[in-house]
Order: sequence, then C-alpha cells, then structure tokens
Amino acid sequence: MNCTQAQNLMSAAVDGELTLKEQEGFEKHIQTCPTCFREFKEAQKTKNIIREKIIRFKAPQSLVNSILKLSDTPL
Amino acid sequence: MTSSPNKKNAPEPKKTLSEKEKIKQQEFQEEAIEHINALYNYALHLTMNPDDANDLVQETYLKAYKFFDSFEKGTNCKAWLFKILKNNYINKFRKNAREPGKVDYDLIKDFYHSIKDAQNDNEDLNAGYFRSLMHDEVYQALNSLPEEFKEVIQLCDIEGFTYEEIANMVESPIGTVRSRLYRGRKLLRTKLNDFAKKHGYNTENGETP
Repeated sequence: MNCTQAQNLMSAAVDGELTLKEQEGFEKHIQTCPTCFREFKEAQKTKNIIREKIIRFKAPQSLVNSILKLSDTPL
Repeated sequence: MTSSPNKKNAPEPKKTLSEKEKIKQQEFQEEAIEHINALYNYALHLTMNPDDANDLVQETYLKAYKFFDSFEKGTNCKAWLFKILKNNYINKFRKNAREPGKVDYDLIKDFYHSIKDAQNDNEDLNAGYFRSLMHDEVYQALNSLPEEFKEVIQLCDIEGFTYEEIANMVESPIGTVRSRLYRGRKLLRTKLNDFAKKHGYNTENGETP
C-alpha cells in the first residue's frame, strides 16, 4: 500500500469502517510511514475533540410533550 | 349542554384510538421518541435557531408518525428520522438559507449563549446529557467548514452513524462520504490546532511539538 491508498482509507480507519483486508494493509503501511502514521493520529484526535467538546442540548420539555401528544391523537 | 346518559347510539364525543392505532402509537413511542434529543441537536445545527429547530422536529415527528408503517422494523430508526428531518429542512429552509461556507460568527456566538442560558436551569443531570462542556472554539471551527464537510462530520462523529447510513442520508456514494470525512477532518484540524494545544490534546505518543 502506498501513501495515496492509505489516505483514501484514512477516515474509514479512524471510524472502524475498514474491511479486515484493508485494515491489515493500512496498519502495515502506517507502521513504516511516519507521515501517514502522524496523519492518522491527528485525524483520530480531531474526531475525539468533536465528539467530546460539542455540547448536546436537551430538547425542551414543551417539545417533548407536544410530540408525545401527537402520537396520542388519531390522524 | 344537557346530559343524556341513556342515549345509546350517540357517536363518541371524542375520537379514540383504534386497536391498530394503539399498537402503532406504542411502537412509535418505543422506537422514535427516544431520538428526540439527537434530532433537536441536529435541527439546531442546521437552523441555528431554537424556534426553527422546534418546528423542524415537530414536523419531522408528524411526518414520521404518519408514515410509520413504511419504516422497516429492525433498521435504524434514528437514521430514518434524520433523513426525514434533513428533507424537511431542505424543503423548508434551504432555499432562503445563507450561502454555505459563509459563517456569521456573531450569530453563532449569540445563538450558543442564548440557548445555553435558556437551558442551564433545567438541565437533567441524570440523563447524562450534558456530560461535556462545549467550547466556543470547537463549535465555531465545525461551523466554519463548508456544508458538505460539516454535515458528514456531524453525522459521523457526533451522531455515530455508519458510513452506509450517512451515504443514504446525504444521497452520495460511500466513497464520497469517506473522502469528505478525510478532507473535512483535515480542514478542521488546522482550525483546531491552537485549541488542541491549549487543552492538552496534543500529548499522544509520537507527538512532540
């Protein structure tokens, strides 16, 4: 696997979306290529920051109530 | 109004749910309602406006309930609801929406503070929903990305959808989802770089600044 191929698989590697075969090839490549290894680590970090630092708001109770009422009413 | 308790053939004063309707209602509540917070957040990200987000979620559920029979059981209900919401959003808002990629930082800041203040009082800590604090920088960085990158990152990293689900939602091949995520994260990374250093995210193995 060369760098271009590894880059094509980069996001899928971060997200655990690679096939077994792709995973093997990708891991082999990043073990020998510091540039792709670094890029992979950076992409992982970016994902983690987004996952952890974006606040999740709770739907207002009035909205929840109106949705519950909605399925209480025959259409 | 005169009461007439003996009136036998009078129509029922109020429509009640048929048996079939009751089952549908129960299934709907079990499957769909639990995703309301995720949908509300997605709607907020799309509209940047709590009132519009409210409307959008309501319309989504109305549509979802109406067409609940067409929902394939065993498939991802959250993904199904997101798709409905997205379509609704496109029909309703996008025609007049601001150009993608153009970001009004003041708008984002105002929005963030207004919604944070409004919700601070009734946080339900038990729900564990507010486990992380949002940082303005991260939110702004994400929002400053071109729409097509922002969207896949939201769906993947925040909502946890699979590539297949995302591809279906954004109506693009999986390969496109992959490359948008790759490019989007790369863009985002440069924007987050300062933030990462400041908050100690740069300490993984092999990282010596």
